[in-house]
Amino acid sequence: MSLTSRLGFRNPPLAWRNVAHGGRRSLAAISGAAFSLTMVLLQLGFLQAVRITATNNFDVLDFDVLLTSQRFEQFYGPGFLPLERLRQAEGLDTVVAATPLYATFALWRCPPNPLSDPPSDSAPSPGALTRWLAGADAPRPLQRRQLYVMGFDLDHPPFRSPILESIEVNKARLRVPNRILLNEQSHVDFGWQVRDRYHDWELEHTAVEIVGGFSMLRGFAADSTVLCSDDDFVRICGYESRETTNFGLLKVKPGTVEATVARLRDALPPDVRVDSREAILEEEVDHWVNQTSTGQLFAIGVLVAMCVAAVVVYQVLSNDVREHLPEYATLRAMGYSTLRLAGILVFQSMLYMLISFAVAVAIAAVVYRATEVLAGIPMVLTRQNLALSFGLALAVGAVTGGLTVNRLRAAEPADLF
Amino acid sequence: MSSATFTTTMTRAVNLPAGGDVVIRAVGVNYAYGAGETRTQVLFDNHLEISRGEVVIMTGPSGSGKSTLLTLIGALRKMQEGYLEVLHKNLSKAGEGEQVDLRKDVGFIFQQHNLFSSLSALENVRMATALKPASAEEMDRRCVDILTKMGLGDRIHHRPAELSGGQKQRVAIARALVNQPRLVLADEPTASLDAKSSQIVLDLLRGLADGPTKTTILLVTHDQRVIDKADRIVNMIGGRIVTNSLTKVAVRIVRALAATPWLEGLSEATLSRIANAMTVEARVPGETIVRQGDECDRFFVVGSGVADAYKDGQFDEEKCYGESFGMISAYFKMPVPETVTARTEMELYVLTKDDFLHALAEDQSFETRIRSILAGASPVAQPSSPSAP
Repeated sequence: MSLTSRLGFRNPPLAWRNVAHGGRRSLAAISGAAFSLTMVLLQLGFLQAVRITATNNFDVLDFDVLLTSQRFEQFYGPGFLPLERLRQAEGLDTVVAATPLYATFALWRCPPNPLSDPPSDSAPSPGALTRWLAGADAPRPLQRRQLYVMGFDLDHPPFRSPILESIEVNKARLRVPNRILLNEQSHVDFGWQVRDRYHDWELEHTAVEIVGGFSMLRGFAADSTVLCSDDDFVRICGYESRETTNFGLLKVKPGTVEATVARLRDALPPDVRVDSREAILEEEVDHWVNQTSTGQLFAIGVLVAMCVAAVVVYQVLSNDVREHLPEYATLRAMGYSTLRLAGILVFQSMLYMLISFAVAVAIAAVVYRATEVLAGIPMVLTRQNLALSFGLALAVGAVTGGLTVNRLRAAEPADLF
Repeated sequence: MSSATFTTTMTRAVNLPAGGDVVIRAVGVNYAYGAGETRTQVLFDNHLEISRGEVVIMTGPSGSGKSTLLTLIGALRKMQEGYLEVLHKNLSKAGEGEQVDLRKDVGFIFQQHNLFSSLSALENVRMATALKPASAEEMDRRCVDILTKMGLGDRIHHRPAELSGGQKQRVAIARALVNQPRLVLADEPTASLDAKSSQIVLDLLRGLADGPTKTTILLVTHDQRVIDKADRIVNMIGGRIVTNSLTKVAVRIVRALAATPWLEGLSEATLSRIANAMTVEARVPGETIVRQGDECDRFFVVGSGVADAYKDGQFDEEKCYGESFGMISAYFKMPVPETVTARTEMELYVLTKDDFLHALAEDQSFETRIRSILAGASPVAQPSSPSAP
């Protein structure tokens, strides 16, 4: 008895056998589709990274309600609001605390590499691939690059753990002017790795000292972040006074978020907008995923990759059908309906996609890790993305198999006589 | 062809279905490929009736239309003109679904094996059983049985690449027969088989036709070994059925004709042509078929039943299966030499004067021979039965 019979299958596993014994043809289909699905998983991974980094900045902040300028766009373009609005907000009985956060981009003096023998500014810079492969070891001259600076009241740091602990540990040293904390996960160019051997740090045009670090995910908008006291921030970043801030972080009594938001909207002047934590996170994700080209770029990437997978599998399956036309014509002569034959083709197409999916997941796991290490982007293969790519694989399999059914029209059983 | 002509054609003895259950009935079937200026007609007014359990051979030169007729019978093409009934289903206006349904009752054997290279012999045959599903064990058993009958019992798990050409063809035949189809359509099924394998396949086909399923077998072949197994031979030329002979009846008639003195010495081909022209008539007991001294325009061969022959009012002899009587008086210038009365129900094969004259005109040797007889050159001087005084 055959294996399929032992398993109780009534139909011979034609689709599976065509895949298993397809040789180079199956290999071409599986490798092509696996490559495309790997691209899909990568695009989804990038999209997920956009989502993570979009909310990451707010995730590290401790607040229930956020006050921002009416011109607020997203975390890196917050606009300005008067500190007075925080004081007004504190007047509400449901508001427990109101803490300002100052935030802006500033220029950072990145140390050269190697420190002992830096390349001159006029030396030809290595190509992108060379730099990418060399990573931290790539030679680079002294340069200034933008990073994101956040200033806050050292007595009321509006951060969550573990950044809060990093601040607490270094709080005393941060009280000395021009001392800062640098993100440990900064791009290698920003010099966290050589902090003990390099001393000529500059933020904007002020000499600063790195007194410690903190761990925070990098985003697509900023390759590094610096934390400092509000006094340092105002002075270094050119703010006129602490009376103009960027974010107002409010802690409210439990269960009063919605009510507080509503009351603040009524109470505060129209130059300020009030959002709950949930709403601002949602808006931030929407901004990065849907309103900027970043999210659209990756979405288009997914679409293109799936189209490539469909074309590859369609080509392979079409050739397979074309080469087996007499066999399919014989099946039609025997009484197999077009629908039944379509089922075989769709199943064969699905099998190509399922095997390709398994291969793609394995490859993607490696590529995710490599991307995370090399680019510092948080690459997370979520269940949702796994399910989405699996669904896309099945959909492409079904559509491709369905399209190939057209080829069966050439399988004319009358021509067999 | 008019309905009157059809009736005549269908009552010819050799054309009649072998049994009562007609499973293929074609009436005035025409078929053309293309349309407009490129239209090419390949079938012209074809009539055919085949009974359940008949083994029918279709012969004819390439392009004679036999494959087209076979594909119409197999519901592989849509009918254009005429009437076609297969396995009691009217295919004249059948849709795709009805065609597919019918094909499940037909076993197709093609010249090419068309096996899936990725499947084993057993699995290729299982592709057929999947259309008439039972339990997996039952389907496996049926497949193994037929493969074993085909001499492939030790090759069931081999894939086509591991089988010889003949073995592959036998797997294809097993696939066609495993569901015990009611009709088998085969195109040169033994072409790629050796003598032993051919014999196995032919015995199996004959067994299906003679067995409880009484499968009807329709084969296109030029293999003499297959022709020997046939009940009927249909010959097509130029898109027309020119010969449709039930071989047993044809042989029976030819033997009776050969035993007739005034036809003695004619070639088998000529006798076959005359036999093909003979029609069938039934008689009831007591019915006088011919009367002594009458002018008559028909010649009879007894197909079944018994008749009594009288001369001058006295019983002369019994007329049984294969014996002949009657007279074409207008040609031989003689009256009927005896009175013949049916004793039982009878089936008679009849050669009419018109068909006789037609055969005469077509066949020079026949005409010459008759003229010689009439001129007294033949040792058989009297165109009457051997028992005539």
